Amino acid sequence: MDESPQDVHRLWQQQPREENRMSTDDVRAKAERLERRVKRWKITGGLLFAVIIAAELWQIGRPNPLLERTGDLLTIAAFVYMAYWFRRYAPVDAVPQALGRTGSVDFYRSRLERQRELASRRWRYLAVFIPGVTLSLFGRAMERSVEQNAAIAVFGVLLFVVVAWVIGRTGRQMQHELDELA
Amino acid sequence: MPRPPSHPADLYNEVARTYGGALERLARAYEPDSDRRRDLLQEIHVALWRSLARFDQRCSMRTWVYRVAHNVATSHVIRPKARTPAFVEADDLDSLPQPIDEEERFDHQRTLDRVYALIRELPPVDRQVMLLYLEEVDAATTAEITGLSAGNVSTRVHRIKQLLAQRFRERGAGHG
Repeated sequence: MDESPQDVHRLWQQQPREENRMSTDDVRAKAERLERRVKRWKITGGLLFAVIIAAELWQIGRPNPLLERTGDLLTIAAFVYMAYWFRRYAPVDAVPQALGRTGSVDFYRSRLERQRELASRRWRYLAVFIPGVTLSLFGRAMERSVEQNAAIAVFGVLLFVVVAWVIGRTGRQMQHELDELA
Repeated sequence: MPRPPSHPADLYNEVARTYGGALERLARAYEPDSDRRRDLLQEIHVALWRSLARFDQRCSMRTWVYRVAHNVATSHVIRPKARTPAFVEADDLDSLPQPIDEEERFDHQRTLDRVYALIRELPPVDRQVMLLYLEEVDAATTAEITGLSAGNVSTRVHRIKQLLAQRFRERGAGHG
């Protein structure tokens, strides 16, 4: 390095400002838009959840085989669990002031941990749906051909293998970064 | 009717005036792509606007601003996205300081170009410490912003300076 540390500091601080700066009104407008979007997402998520539950309840009320209706009931339980988990582990930066109150290392760690948890929990999300979906599928297994049932079974197994592989890899990456932070 | 001094808009204007330059340098250090950098900078400003309404004065304004900025930038870096080019764009070269002498200007550009490139190679925590060091934030404040101990900050600064000097020597020899 040709320059002394003082030179680097001076050079660093003397860099010119960007030309396209946002005005205060622009920032205010963007912040308000973001707040509205967050609110809209919450409402949409809630409505979607309500619609899914209503559809499953309607299925349960129909004169379907008992196995299928039990499967629908278990699927509702899986959705409720998933909704609870998403609320329980909301990201740190979902609350605006948390960004200013959380030290940057803790924040970084929490993001990594959340990603790692999401990766491992994704498996659990999938797992909680297995009993319900399997029972629902079995409920109508007799109405399908052997080939159709076999195709569904192969697809299910492949899906779980791929998801397990992706989750395992993401989890290892996150853990490696967390180990480096420690 | 005059607004109270703690009004979010007044606070934000004060922050933008005082730290605007530092926030731009921070965004440039995190994001080499000019379009994405503009997005990141906007994201930081919007996060500051939203957070300042809840600023509780439990820490200094400076600590609050740097925490928000680094936390937003860290989220930006670890967010899954297409890989960014690991070099500084031509836009950046044009926006560097304009010394009187062309040769001197070229040297300055090259130095800052290298500093940015090297900072972007550092892991997130070291990158934060290095940027705060370049902004001449003292070790105690850096410790408050990051959550590291002051001793840890000093150790990291020392190590990072050595690493940067070593990389400069290697690249200098490589280019020489």
